[in-house]
Amino acid sequence: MTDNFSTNRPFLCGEASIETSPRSKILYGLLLLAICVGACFAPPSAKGEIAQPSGTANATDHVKRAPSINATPERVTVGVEPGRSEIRWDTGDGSVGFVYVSTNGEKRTLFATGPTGRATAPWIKRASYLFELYRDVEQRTLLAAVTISGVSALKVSPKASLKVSPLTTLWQNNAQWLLAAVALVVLYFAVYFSTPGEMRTGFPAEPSTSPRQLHVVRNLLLGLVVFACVDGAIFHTELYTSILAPDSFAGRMAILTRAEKERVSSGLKEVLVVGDSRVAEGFSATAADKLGSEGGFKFVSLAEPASSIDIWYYMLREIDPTARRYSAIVIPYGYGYNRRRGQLLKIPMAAPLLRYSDCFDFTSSFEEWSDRFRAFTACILRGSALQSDVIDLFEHPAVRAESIRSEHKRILARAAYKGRADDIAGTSYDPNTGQITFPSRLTETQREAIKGSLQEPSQSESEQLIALQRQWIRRILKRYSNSPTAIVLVPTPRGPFGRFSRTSMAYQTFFSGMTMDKPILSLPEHTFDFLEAPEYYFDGYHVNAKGRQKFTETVVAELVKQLKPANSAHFASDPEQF
Amino acid sequence: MLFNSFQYWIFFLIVLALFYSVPFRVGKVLLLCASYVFYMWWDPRFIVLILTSTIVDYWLGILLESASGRRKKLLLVVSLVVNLGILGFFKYYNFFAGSLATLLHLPQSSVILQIILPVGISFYTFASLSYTIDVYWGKMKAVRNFIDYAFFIAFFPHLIAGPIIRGRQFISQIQNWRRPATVVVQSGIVLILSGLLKKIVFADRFAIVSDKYFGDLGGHPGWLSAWSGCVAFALQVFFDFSGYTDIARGCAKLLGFEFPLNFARPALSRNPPDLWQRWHITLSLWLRDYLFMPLSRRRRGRFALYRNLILVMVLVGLWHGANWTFVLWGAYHGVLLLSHRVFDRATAGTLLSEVMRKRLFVPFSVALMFLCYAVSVAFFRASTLQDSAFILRGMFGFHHVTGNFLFTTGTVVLFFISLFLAVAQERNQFIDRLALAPARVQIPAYVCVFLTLELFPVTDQVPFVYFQF
Repeated sequence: MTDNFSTNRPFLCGEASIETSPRSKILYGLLLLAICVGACFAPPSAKGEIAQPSGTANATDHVKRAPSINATPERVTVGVEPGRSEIRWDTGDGSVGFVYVSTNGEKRTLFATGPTGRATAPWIKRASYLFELYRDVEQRTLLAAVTISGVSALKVSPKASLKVSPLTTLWQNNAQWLLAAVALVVLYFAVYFSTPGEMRTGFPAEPSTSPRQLHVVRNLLLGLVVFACVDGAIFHTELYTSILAPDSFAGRMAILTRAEKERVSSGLKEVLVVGDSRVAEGFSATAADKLGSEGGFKFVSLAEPASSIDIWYYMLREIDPTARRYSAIVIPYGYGYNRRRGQLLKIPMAAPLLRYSDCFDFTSSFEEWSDRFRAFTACILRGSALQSDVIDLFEHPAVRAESIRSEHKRILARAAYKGRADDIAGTSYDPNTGQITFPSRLTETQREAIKGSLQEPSQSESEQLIALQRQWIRRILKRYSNSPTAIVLVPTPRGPFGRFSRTSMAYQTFFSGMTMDKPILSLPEHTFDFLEAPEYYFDGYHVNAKGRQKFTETVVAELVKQLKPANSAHFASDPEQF
Repeated sequence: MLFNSFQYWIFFLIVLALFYSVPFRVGKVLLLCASYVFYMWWDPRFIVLILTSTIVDYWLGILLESASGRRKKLLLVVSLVVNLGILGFFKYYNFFAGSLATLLHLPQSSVILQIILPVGISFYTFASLSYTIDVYWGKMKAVRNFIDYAFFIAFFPHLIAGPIIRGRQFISQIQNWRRPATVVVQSGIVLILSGLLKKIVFADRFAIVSDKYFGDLGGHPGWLSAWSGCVAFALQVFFDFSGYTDIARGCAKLLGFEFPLNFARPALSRNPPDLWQRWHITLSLWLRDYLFMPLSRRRRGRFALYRNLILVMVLVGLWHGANWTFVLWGAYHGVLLLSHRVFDRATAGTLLSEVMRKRLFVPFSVALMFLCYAVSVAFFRASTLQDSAFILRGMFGFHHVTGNFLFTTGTVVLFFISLFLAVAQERNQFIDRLALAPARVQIPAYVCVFLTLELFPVTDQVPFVYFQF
């Protein structure tokens, strides 16, 4: 429920492997074709070292990405003249980033700034250049990095040289001037053919008579029907979903669910953990597997930043159509996320999972009518929820192709993720005065997150949040009512200063009086109280590597204990009973 | 209630359904009420202004018809004073008072008033004035039915940003209203869709580029940035205003009314006079008929002609906004018109003139005219003269840096798409013909438009540029 924008965000927990399907290959081919067309219209880059912040920042604000920095090409052939490479970066959240470059590990120098952009480095020599994207000018928070290797033309292997596409070579050889000339010629002939020669003295009005019978309503309705069908064929199938930006919320959700659907069962007792960024940072499936292996458990984490319980429901529906795949499903509950922001992200995030029949249920999760309208439209016309992604694809087809190609790297990175090493130890909070003292090493982002986490939700916010969780827990339980899968509710740690919070994480606070279609299991309210200390957190919401280990150990220990066959009989509709 | 808002389309569909469910005499009143509701949506207080202008000109029209000699002139003067007085006070008071205060070294706070500019005031004032002047000249009869007159002034599709309609074109349509033919309805739908495309896909996307430049001029030095920003704004303002006009005309058609053409591919203009025949046509014609021609009739001669040209164009600039940047924008266009006229006279009958008329040369003329127009954006879009000067210095290389190309791949593609659509429309009315096209053409066209509107709109609602005028 809290969105997390940390650098090394876990991408896909578990050891799932993804194979490229034949359909994906065809799509990939189509994408490459689009790249060729797109490349023909790519704007010429600025000359020299002038950084060029991209103009798409506003247009693609709604696609939340992981911070990235890419170089094209990463391996630059250097002859007599220096080579060149284009650096593209994106901080992912619209904040200003600082790109530094160091040559052969020497001192870093500022290369460019901006939330997103590209800049050409036309001075690549035979050396190694490390380009690093930092959140701050003090170079404290590294967001992403890329290395460019300048290699001698003589040393480039024939195989390596084959990797550089002719288009790239053409582009690097100042093809932008050729492109500009072609554009001018096109412009010339377009205007030439538009004119009959003589100056116009008048302009004809629209037609007022027709030689044939017109069918206004019929054609309009048919147009709408065909449009809805085209939208369905493109966006309600795998056709577009398979080329969603892997860094976007929608793309990550699509990849996660696809990978989990395609994963072959381990034959062990599989436990699925869903959740938002707090669980994504807090729970390690790899560590859990080691801890739970003796009990025959296999853990899978599909926790995803900024997701919420309604999205988990749709995710479960997608990956577990028979509702019998998992031994247990761990669902966190609690407070603490930017509600408005969550609402805005929810639609594109849920888009790859939505069906036509969800138009009323999904809409009911929103309070404002404008959001409800957007949610409804997203179910019927899924493309409307993926506007930013489509625009991004058209604007940067090559980048998209590259990021889809490197999808497996992200999956591996997600599985290998060990959590953030830094902590906020030394931060103190006085609940009486409300004063917070930060150690000097904390960044502004960390400080803001800590301040944000200390703000108690308002009465109405709490009520809405509880209502949402009750509504969707009920739906999840209904779905699993006839299934052997155990549903485990886990209270999420409230933050580094959770002990001062007035909010109760008691099961009753959230689910008292609720009719359950299935017995559930809930971990005790105070299970994670020991984690609510600054040394276990790297900001106001998310645990660090140390906290991650502790959280995982506790969850696994509790689950192993509770999921023993002997204990299963104790499942009750009111967990406080046992 | 913007034309690109969901609210407006709910409002329009309700009005459309109600209008066709009652006889026209009732429907007319209903449309008038709907128009007032539409206007009051912005600020209910300003309904008083529109009602004042309507009532005064309605009575003056009747009185003018029967009056003669000095009394007739006096009545016209009253109409001019009332209409221009309201316009002048609300739109220009602060500008003139502020300028005078600066001239006399008085503190601005002593003369500046907190005045809100009523939306659409320039448009309905000109519509109202055209009526009284036409009645004065005897070109039309005074309207005896108040509802008809009020309807002409307040009819909501043109109320906020034109096109500037004239009594003699529109009142007869009210008096002889007929259900629109199928082809007119079809044409209206095509216009609405084209207007929406122009606004929320083209204009708003070019706006991202231009806002980036004009929102941070200091951060974008260099000729490449300046030209990118200005060309982007030139395209934005065209698609924005032309899109508004298309929607207005389309809505009017669906209700059985015709509005005059307001834009005819101005980006394909070959020279300044051609530009003003294609750009905001109703304003150009209004100024020609009610200002330029009367001035030219009073005093003939080349110098007087040139003077009138500049004067009218300065007023065109001032019509757009109370700022010295607009005055200079108008003057710049006046100078362009004048230069063209002088050049034309000087080269008449020469080889150069012959070459320039050749079809092969037309693209160069069009490009030159477009660039000249882009230069004028430095005055039109900048908030102050200092900003204009900064942009112009940038455009002509005085910043001594290259700057950034601000267009993205998407906006470059949009530019070419818009060019080809303009060319197709210019050559054979491609867009207009869609209204007559068979289903096999029309349905795919609709699908393309719907898909474009679904996938490529700018989701943040950007107000129409011409609302501020």
